[in-house]
Amino acid sequence: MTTDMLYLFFGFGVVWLGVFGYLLYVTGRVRGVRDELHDLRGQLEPSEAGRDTPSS
Amino acid sequence: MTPGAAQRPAADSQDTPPAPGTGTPPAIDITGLRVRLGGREVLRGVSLALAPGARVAVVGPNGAGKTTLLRAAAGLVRPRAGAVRFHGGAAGAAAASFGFLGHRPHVYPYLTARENLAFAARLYGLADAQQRIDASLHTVGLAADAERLPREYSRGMLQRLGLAAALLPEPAVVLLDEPDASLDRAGLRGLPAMLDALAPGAAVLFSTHDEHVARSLNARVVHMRRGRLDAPPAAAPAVEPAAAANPPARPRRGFAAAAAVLIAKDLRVEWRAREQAPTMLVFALLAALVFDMAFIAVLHTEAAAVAAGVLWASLVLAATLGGVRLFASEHDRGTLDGLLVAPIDPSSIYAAKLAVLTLETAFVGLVQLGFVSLLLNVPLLQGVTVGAVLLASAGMSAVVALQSALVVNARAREVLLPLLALPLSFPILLAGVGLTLGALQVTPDAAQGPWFGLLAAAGGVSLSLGVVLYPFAART
Amino acid sequence: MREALAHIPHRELPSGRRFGLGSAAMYALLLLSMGLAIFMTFVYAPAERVQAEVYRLLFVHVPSAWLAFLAFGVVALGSVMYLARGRQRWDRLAHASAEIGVMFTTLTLVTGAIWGRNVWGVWWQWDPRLTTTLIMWFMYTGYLSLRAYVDDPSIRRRAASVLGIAAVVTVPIVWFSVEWWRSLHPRPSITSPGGGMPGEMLVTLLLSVGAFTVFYLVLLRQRMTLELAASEVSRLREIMQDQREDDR
Repeated sequence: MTTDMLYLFFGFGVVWLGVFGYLLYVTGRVRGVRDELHDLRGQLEPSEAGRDTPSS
Repeated sequence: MTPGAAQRPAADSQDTPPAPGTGTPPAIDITGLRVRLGGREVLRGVSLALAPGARVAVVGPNGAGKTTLLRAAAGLVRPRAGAVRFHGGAAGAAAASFGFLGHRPHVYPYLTARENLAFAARLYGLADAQQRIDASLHTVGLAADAERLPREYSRGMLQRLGLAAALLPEPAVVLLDEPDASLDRAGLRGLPAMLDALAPGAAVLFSTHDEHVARSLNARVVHMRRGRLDAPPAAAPAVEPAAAANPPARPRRGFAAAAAVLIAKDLRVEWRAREQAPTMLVFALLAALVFDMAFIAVLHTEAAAVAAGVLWASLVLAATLGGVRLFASEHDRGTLDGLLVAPIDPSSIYAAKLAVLTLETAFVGLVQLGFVSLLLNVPLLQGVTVGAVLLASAGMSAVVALQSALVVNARAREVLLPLLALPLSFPILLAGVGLTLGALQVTPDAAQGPWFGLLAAAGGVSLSLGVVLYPFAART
Repeated sequence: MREALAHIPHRELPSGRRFGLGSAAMYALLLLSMGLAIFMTFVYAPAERVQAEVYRLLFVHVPSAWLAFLAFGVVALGSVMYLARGRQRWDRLAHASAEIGVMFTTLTLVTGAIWGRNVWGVWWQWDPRLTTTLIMWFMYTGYLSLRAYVDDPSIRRRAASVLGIAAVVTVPIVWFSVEWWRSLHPRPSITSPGGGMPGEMLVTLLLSVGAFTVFYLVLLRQRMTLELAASEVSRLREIMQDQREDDR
């Protein structure tokens, strides 16, 4: 009975760690890339004043 | 100048309605071509038209996009936008009459010069090829070396042979990528004469980074810089007088005919170079030895079960090894480009490679049947096992050939190929082992039908996937 | 240079700096469904007679496996559409879905092993279902390796699409493996007629599948945003490179 519960706990631990760990990892990378994107746009915009054409 | 040069090959004599009235359409018409390669925009909207007989040199520094322009014109690079039209026909270069010579000539080092040209002739379905091959060899100055293998040639000779092969079908459009970079001085001086003799009236598009070369070839110069043509030429460039009549699109070779030509070429190359089959065989024999050693504890008690496992494990690994160089050897030599610009169905390239690998794998498997029988003292040489080896060779080859085409542009492709091919080979391994265990009376009452069915199904699915998908994998 | 920028639309990233109502609703739905699934798994679903408590792993094991199938199906769909239409969006979908599918397959294998250790006494059985699942895992790991090893983006997309279509043959093999071969793996208790699963368990399982599907969609969205942002970064770098060359 106790080992039974232990395995159950173990199994769910792996699943939740895996899924949420992956989500956090991806979200973290999205944030990183987005910051980089922001920086790049910042660098581009001063030299390209008046560029802001509305996106279509 | 050369006999036979003036007459068109029979393939060109098919009738198509000539362009009516208002003058001939451009021999090649490139409009708004945009190409991205390696994540960079290499061509940024290039438009260029050549009248029949015109000679244009695209001059620009390295990295300007000249090579990409020519490769895109030849249909080897897929544009993001824009189109390439030949003789006012539909977009796409599929069956158009053009010759392409890139940095590396489309020449097989293990076929003699004459055999290389004969292969090109068969690939393009040329009639009365013999005469034309002789004339071509004479024109490019290789008549005396015609029976030698190009692996002994100098770079300049190789390039001249490549030129002869590209011009053999007497194309109406010739695309030459930096002829000065690879032709020797004499070859470069003789280039205009060679073009006149071998492709009279053809429109010629060169690339070079040396403007003097362009002038010496009597070509109109167009400058290219960073993916754009400086001062785009007027819409209709001057039409040179000697314009040939509009040649019709070259008819596509049939699938089986093209595959047969390619198989014959590969077998001849393999016979001369002995690069594939002996390596696969020795590898399979060694693998059998390795497995025997590894299972030494049960070698006497479970000889039949071990034999079945050893046979199939070594065969699957050998077929995978054979796939490593299957497309890579053509890709690395640049000859794959030569096949892709030919008027053949790209799937026939896959089919031919598959057939050759099947023969090689079957050869290895049959030898291995005898070898493992001897080593483990079991009667492996039976009708069932031979049938299984033959069918499995085809199935494994179908799996491996497609993956081999996929990894050709990958880093570490030798390592990657097994990762992709082995997971799909398990059904074949399983069926082979099942049939062999039955034949060796380990599982005497096992039915053979389902195992053969599994072999056939695995092979059939892989073959269909390969034939359908290879054309998508082939072009960049 | 200006016209070069003008013809490339300034792309807006989904759920970008503006935290949209859509993504807020998505996360709320995720938390809600996950919470409900956990509650039902541990409280609502009755204990099983033979396997006692460890059977509850079923409520993550089965959804992971199904979502892996779905994910690999989406890989094939994205691959076909990319080859047919040439839009990068389809390739991004295939790539994102493959990575998530591999993750779900890993979870399926791990939870299955833990369950097996308890019920069979061993972590691994040479069973058709288990073996074919492992092969499928290797196949899609190979897919991700191919993507990692081809440098040229357009060649990579085409090669990956071809493999994404070829690899999907492993999915029906896993699915039908229990039908084709004698298997120790429990039979599908939903699709088989008269499959003896009590109603509460069935409801819990279906709800868990729903919750995992929401999770898949959230992950897919994030992963595709990542791909889009990364390609936008390389596009901007290219523009900057151009400007530098123009200035020279």
